[in-house]
Amino acid sequence: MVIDAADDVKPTATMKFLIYIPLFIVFQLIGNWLKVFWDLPIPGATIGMSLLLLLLFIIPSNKGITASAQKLLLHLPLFFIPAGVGIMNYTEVLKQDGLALFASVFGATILCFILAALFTQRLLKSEDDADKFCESET
Amino acid sequence: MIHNLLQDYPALLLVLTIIIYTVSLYIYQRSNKNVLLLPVVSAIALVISALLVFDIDYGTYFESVEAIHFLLGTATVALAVPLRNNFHLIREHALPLTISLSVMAIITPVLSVLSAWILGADTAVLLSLAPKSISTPFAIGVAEEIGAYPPLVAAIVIVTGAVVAVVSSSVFKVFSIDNPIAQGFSMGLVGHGIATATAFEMSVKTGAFSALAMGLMGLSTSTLLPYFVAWLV
Repeated sequence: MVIDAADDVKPTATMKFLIYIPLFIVFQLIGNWLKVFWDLPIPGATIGMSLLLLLLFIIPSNKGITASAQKLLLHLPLFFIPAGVGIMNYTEVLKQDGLALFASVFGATILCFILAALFTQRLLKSEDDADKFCESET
Repeated sequence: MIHNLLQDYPALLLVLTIIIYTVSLYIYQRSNKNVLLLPVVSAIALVISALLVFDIDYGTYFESVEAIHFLLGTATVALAVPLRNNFHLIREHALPLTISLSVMAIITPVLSVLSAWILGADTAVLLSLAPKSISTPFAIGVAEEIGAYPPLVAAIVIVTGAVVAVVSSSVFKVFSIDNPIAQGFSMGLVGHGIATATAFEMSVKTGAFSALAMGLMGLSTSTLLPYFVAWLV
């Protein structure tokens, strides 16, 4: 026999990976269903993700789920392809609003990034200073 | 002849997509992870080229690969897992990080839309720019809700992430941002998953805070932006 009998008892890493994929799909479907049921403008996947997040805070350990999510998220770029290829139908828009898109995607992005970095560092520093001040008081 | 074959057996388009994706991954790894050869970018470009050469329209293509598009939603749900596992990081610096997130969640879409509005962009284009700093799966979901063009949003989001990834180390040097928490958090806030990958190359700590910021930004923007747009329009 080529197949080892132990393989039947002990789930392999691949099997563990597959076991949790239906869990993610179930939360995705619940999210989509709640979206329709309550007529929410939020994407169904976001609702599903929030519910899974709640569950993850309740359960004590999530080793298997983590391993499975990591495997799935490793290939996230593959899942973008069907939506991304649609850009082929938007050449007119790209031509017409090219400059505005460029200004926003390059200019505004870099500006926001600089603001975010400076602001976050400033906030963290003032928190540190406040901590030190409290320590010296006590 | 290949045109007829692809038309008659749409599953071949699924095969083509996966092969192209694998080739793109290979090229990216061989190029020492050159950001201009990001697998998403080269894969999309190669698929478009193939569709143009074999004269397949986008509608036919999308129908054939809808299963892959469905898994985008599944992967979005799975993003809850890294968010949960990085959540303890926020507790240590709860106040500064929450303030930073709330402020940037408003400033980023406003500046993105404003800069294009000044240059006279079309309304649907402006809406497509609003979710540009959140992870692609969230952004595509939001695009479908607010009446933006989902494929344009996908392209905008990917380029935005690449811009942040490329400029990050220069920005940190010029503006002397030396705190790894500030570095990672800002990369995740503005540059989502693509910048997060670069953040992990800087250090594990930088990467973890970037992943945290990306998750929080995706969750908050995709929840609030549709309401904001509905209120505005």
